[in-house]
Amino acid sequence: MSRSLKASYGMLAVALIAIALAACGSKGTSGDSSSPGGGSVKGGPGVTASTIKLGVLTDLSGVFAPLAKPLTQANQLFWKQQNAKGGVCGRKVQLIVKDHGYDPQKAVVQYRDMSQNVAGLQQLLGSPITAALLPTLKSDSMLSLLSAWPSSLLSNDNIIIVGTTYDIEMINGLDYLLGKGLIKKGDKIGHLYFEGEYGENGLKGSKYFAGKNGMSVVEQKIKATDTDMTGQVAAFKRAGVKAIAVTTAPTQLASAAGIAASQGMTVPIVGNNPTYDPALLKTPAAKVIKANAYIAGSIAAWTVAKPEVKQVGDDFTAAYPKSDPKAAVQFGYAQAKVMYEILNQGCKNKDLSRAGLVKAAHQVSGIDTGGLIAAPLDYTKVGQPSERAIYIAKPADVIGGLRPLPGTFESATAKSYNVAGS
Amino acid sequence: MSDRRRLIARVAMIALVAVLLWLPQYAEAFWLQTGLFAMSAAIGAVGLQLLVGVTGQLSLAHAFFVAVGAYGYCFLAGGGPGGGVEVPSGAQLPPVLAMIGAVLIAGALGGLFSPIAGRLSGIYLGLASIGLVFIGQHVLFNAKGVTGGFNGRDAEPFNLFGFSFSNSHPDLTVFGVPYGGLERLWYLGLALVALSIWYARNLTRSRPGRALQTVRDSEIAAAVMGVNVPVYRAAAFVVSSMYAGLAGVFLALAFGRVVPESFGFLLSIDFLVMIVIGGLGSIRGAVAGALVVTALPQLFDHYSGSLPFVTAPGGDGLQPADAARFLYGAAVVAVLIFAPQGLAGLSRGLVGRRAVPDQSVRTDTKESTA
Repeated sequence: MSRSLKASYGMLAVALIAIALAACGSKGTSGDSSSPGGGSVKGGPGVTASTIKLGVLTDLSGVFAPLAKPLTQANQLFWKQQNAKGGVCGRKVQLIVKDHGYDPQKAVVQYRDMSQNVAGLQQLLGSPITAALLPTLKSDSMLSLLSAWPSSLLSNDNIIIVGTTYDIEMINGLDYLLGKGLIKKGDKIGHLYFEGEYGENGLKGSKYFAGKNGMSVVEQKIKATDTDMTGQVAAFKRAGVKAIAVTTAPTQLASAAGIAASQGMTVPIVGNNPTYDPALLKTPAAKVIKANAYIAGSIAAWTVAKPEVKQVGDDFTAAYPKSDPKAAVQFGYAQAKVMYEILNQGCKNKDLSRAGLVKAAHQVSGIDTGGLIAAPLDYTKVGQPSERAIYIAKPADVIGGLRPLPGTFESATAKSYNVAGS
Repeated sequence: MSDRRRLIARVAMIALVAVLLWLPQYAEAFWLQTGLFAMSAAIGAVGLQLLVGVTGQLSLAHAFFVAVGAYGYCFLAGGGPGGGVEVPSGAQLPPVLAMIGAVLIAGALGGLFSPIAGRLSGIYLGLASIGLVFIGQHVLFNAKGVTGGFNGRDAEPFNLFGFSFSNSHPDLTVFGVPYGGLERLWYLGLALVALSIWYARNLTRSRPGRALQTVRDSEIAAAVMGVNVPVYRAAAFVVSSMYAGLAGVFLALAFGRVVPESFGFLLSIDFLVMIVIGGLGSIRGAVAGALVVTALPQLFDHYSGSLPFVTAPGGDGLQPADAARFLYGAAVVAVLIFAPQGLAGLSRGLVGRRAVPDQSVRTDTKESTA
């Protein structure tokens, strides 16, 4: 018998065994609603008498890895500490971390893989991934805590945003400049922003602010892959802008700040919270950034003078000595804390099912994060941001790379702004 | 002897089909979803094989035509009342017509590109076609009324004679296993892949198919024998675009919602990798390549927890996704070294089938005359 014939028999045998296996197995029996176990609390997927499983769908190997890694570690830190204190609802929380590398296809498969085993998503990162999963998350009633701040997603009751949104960050940031006399009514504002959800949400804020204050916005839309801002800054200079708003990644902030300075433009630069990374202080643009940039965001910098903020920083450094101190740490911790409050509310309602958790999420208010987020969080109004205050911080050579200005800032314009408006 | 071998190969094929048909009975959502993406990739890869492997042309615009198919379907089938939410416009056609329409639109756009596709050969066409991917991305982000912009748009569930390929309408249970959207789409995907393979095989064995292969092997010989080289090249491009369109329609169904980021330049490269490791010129190889390129990273990721030297996701050290990528890269290199004729060549060696004309693999790139 020839070698190839033997191989053919082999293949046939494998195929037959596969059929036999297929005939035995049946998934119909493994139901998706696991029994709740302890007490009279109604359970759901991912909930047993002793544990609650939560999913983390994040990017630890793609473009957002430098941000997502400390964020995920802070999620883990909170639950490690909370589990040591007894967990929540008499159950320990276990995180199932999946790394999609910013690939929607991979994320959809990973979500399918985990969706029957988790009660909710502790973290969901990446706007294309969120957009692709949106209808599935909705039909699964999957409570999902976003690692992004777009107001466009607030109308989904299963999506929870911790802190204020990009548009409100920008309104507050610009209003701060106005209050300090750094810009005045009638000025032109240049806005450098990414194509996509993030950039356009930031732009919505600056346009609203400009409309309220008789200003105009000079728009420069860029792609995330553009890194040289020479042309955009030149356009701002030609238009005579008095301030530059930035809704991009740190690379573009550094480029814009550096080029503006070299062209003799000394205007204030206000950036949304994702525009800053402490690594910018090691770039040639560091001096200009320290002098001119204001970072507007609801997440506390490492040096905010609140005991809880300091405690989280210290605990994080002790637990992950190799990780860089970034504001993502405070955010990740606060994000986990919000999930804790929601699970706690679900426990009080005696309902930890998917739908029960979505309902519980909109019953919690007054969540005090001890300053990790600028103001207490209120989720009782679907479609509204959980709070509207921000910290204004200046890049500086301190731990975390940002020195916050004292107190929080919530402008009247930001308070009256309608997030659902166009 | 040869007859016996062929019989065994045929029985093995029937067994494989039986396994595929039975799989939703026990495969979990992870396997089904991975399978759906692989099926979409298989359809697209077969189409690219017709262009690259059979006709000897290179296209880097495959992702663009996949996007046209996906968004074309969503547009033609979608547009119903949004329930108070603003939704992108649509033609509200029955999904079957939308599927056919989307494939035709992809073909038509391929046809518009044919003056270029007919004149340029090989790598020159590849370079000329790159632009389409970037134009496509720009349109997807900015033509919000149709594409939904960065938010993407929902894909209407497929529907055939009132039978919906979604989680309900009607509820369906087969041998005690509830058949939801994934299970139903699985069968639709199998049918579409079978159709794609059948059509491609017939095409390559037909008179036009042989003309295409002659164009690949020698342009001058083809012209001497009366083959209108530019017309055949353009036609191959149109057919390949239509395949990409069908792949896009099924990708949209498998996703449930399409977003611009799914159709970037990397997708074009992935398709090229599929047909290269599958074996240039082989239809079966393209399908196998699609399976490997789509499923292998997912599998590595799924089982990365059990790999040595890998930390838990989020820990300090080698991330599972990075490890999966290294393994995937190594696997591709291994295939190219140990099976230079791709997976198709490998399986020919195993099953011992004699080479049939349409699978006469020619990996040597012909000299360019453009």
